[in-house]
Amino acid sequence: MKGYISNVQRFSLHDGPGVRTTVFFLGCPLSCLWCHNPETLNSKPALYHDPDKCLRCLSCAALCPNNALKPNLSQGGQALFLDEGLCEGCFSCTLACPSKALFKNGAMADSGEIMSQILYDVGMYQKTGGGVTFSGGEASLQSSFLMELLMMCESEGIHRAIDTCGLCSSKIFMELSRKADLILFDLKHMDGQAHKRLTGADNDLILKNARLLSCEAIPMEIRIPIVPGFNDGCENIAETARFIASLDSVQSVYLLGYHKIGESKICGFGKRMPGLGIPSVGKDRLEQLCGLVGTFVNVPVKYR
Amino acid sequence: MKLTNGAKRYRDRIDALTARKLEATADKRKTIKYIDSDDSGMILPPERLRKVVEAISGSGMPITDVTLNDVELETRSNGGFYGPKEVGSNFRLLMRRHPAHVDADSALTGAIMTNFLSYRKESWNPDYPYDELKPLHEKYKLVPPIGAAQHFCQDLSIGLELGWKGLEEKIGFYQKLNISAESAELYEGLLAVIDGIEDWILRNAELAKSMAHEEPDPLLKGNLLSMASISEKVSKEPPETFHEACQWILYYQMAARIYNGSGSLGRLDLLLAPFYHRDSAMGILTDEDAVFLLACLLLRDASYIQIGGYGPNGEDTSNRLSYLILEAVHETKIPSNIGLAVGKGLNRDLLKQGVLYQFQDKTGNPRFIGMDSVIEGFMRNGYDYQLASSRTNSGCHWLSIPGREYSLNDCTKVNFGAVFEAAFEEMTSDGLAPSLERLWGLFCKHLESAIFALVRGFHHHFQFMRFSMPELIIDLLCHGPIEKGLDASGGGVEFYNFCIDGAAIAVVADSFATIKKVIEEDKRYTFADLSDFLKANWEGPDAAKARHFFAGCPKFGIGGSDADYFAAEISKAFTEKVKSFDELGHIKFIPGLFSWANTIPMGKDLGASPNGRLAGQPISHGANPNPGFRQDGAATAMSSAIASVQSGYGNTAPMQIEIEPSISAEEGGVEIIMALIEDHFEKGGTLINLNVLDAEKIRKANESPELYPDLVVRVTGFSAYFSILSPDFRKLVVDRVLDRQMA
Repeated sequence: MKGYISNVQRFSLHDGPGVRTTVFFLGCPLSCLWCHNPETLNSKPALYHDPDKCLRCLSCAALCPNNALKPNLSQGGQALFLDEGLCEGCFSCTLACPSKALFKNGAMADSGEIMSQILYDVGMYQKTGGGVTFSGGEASLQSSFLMELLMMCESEGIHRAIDTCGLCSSKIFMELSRKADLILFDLKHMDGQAHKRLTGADNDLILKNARLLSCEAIPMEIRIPIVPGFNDGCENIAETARFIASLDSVQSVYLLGYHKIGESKICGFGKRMPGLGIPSVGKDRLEQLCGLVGTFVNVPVKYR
Repeated sequence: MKLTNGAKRYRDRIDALTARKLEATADKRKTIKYIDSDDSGMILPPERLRKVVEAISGSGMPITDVTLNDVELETRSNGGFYGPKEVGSNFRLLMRRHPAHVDADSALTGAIMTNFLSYRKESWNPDYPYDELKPLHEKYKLVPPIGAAQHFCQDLSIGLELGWKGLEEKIGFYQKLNISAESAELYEGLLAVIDGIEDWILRNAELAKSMAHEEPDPLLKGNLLSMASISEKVSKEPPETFHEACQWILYYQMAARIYNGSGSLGRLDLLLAPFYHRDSAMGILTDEDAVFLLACLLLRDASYIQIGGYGPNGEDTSNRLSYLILEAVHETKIPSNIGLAVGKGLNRDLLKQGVLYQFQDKTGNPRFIGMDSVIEGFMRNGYDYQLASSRTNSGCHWLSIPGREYSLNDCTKVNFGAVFEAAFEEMTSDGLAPSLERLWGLFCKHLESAIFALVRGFHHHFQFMRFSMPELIIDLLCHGPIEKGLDASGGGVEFYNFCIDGAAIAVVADSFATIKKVIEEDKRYTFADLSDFLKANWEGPDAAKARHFFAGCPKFGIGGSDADYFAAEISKAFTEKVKSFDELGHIKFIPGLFSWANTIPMGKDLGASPNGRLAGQPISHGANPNPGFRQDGAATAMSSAIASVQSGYGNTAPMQIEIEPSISAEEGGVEIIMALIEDHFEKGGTLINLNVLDAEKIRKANESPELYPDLVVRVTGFSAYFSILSPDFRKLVVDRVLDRQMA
């Protein structure tokens, strides 16, 4: 089976226990303001353009069968203009770009190809208690593809984690989760309206899925992004911690301090992620919030 | 075992000694500017005695050095001195003038102040020319073996048993048996060398004694008197105590370093074990004493030492001293070269301790040797397990059987880039249709020619080196040279396994792969176009644009790419061709992949490469992929790639890896690095040179090296203070650091 992925990252140390290979799926039902993987937001491969890398050679425009790419040489403007109505998504223009300023973001990949990459580091998984993590984007959006990869990994005896925002039909979500050894479950905000404002979606289904995981005793690591001024108020964190305390299968809680890594990333044709204009979270603040969460839950609370 | 400030004030004394080492390094930086090689612990002679000269090091690299201005050696008209008699008598002359050095805080006397080889103008004896080989050396830009020195390991146990007097008696005995003119000259040279060393040792003893008279501090006064008496004793007698053994080894090692740059100690944990156990049992040596003494030893010379390893029956030989040697490095945090033996049957706790110190000290120490792979590989040459397991890490990337094997390790390099250049030049100028297949065929043909030129060089060296620069110091502690009256370089020892290293494998593998993609598959450019681009060094609008295509292909290391395929094929072809020159029962050739400090000069000599590399840029380091080989720079991907190009005959193709851990030692970082090390070795890897480091600090230090005088990095096989490296070498380290940081 084939699916859409952004990247396969080996020697990943922060997506579950031990040394892992993380498969980043394309597509996400949320659009968090602080997204640090904007390259995974499109659900299918898309034409991206990085003006900073562009040589202005226009080799790409010459190759486009529909003349969808046009020079845009006005001072201070981008080198290229894409007429999306004319673009058929053949990506032949990317082959002409010497500097890879114009590139196909994401790719269709066969599960077998992905498995061959996953299998490279089996020795390391065994030695460190690691494995594979399916992340994104939101891997459950491509549920059949994910299921096949989960089963292939299961047959190889590889530890499987799914890094999820939890927004997925409960039936599918639970079918997938039952095939995983660990769910890295994101909780972004406990207030439904705030959640919608920050991520574009309500959190009812997310919280429901977390409870379902708990009911079936599927191990979870809860991950809370700490974004200053957006969700780091003590009230929200305490509320989140209370919710975590109500779940039975949570093994650990991770507070992930906001970092600016996503801000510089290209997220479309000539587009970069807009910065939030906020500083990174200090160690003191993270320790303080860890302490707060720790007053509610009986599992290890860590941060990074 | 921490050094404390008890009655002997070890902590303060080590701090004072390391501070003085930093001062000596600053002095070297001021006087000779850069040192791009091992930190030998050399202290420059007093200013009034210094003369700055340009010379060639024992590793064959051009260096700026300091000689003693009051020493005039007896040279021939060309400025050289050759053969055991001339060399021995000149070394005696030098050692008689070599200043003594005593530091009241140390427990060991003596210091290296000069390099004997820097006193000669012409290194090779003109009576034994090899003009017919020079055009081939030039054509393939080879680093040839002829005239290369040391790079094999003595058996220190011979010296520890006999002492200098015993060695003189042994020579006297065999002098009567081997009466040829050649043997007579060798014995004369060996005795002259010992005579010079004894004189130097005694002057160190005298200096310690005279300093003791002036020393007001009772502890230091007692220490000076003790050092004086130990030096007096070991100037003739074999050592009896741990302290005396350390001093004996240090004198020998410093003499070997002064003579021709040798820096190999071998399995110090085994060599010192009898002394350690005896003194500990007698209650005259604590572990803290031992750590202090070992630290004093390492402060004077950062020699190559193996800790742990297999015994002749496959048993783990690590002992308490293995840990104490690690502790000594940890306590000083100076450049040092400890090779920690790793293997399925070896001590994992020692490995854990070594990795922990990598995290804590960030000095690139220890390094890690994949014993199972190197033993299994060495046995493929026809040797048994007992011999293979005795082969000891004693240099930048190499192992040697102490006292029994002569190999010229790390001295001879085939630059695959230059071989590729010759093949490409032939293909694009012979009028026949060019193709990837033809290019590969021509590459293999030129590779064989290059290797054959080196093989002829080895034979020439084997026949005549002893009439240029015999191995008079290492000869003393080998099994054979004294007994046979024949120098180790020319038949004195049992085994001759000449090392031939390949270099630039990633540059060439990436070049083949990109030609396949851009020219043969995409048909975007022709071979003629590429030839023009290379000649133009990728300059001009067309070439600059094309360079993006050629440089953008999947690289060696990404896993499963064409470049990975070509890297494995290059290694296979190289290995087969090197092994095809083995001669039964006499001389063997062992392939490896390593470029050492030649990474920079070999690149300077090379034109532009099809993978987008510009003319003059450094070649890829050792067996490593090119920087930027994968988006994630994954350490495991690098590990798989380097394991896949091992030659498999017991010499190494090291993995040089820089890691800035985003998780601490306490959070599981130690276990992850241990797993990375063990996994690499299980895949067939042979040696890991690791820097666990702070990338930001390295970046800042590169801008203002003088502000970070105590920053230590593992540059390649060797470790050094970052501040003493030339800008080119600092860049080499910085580029690697920027490319790979832990996920």
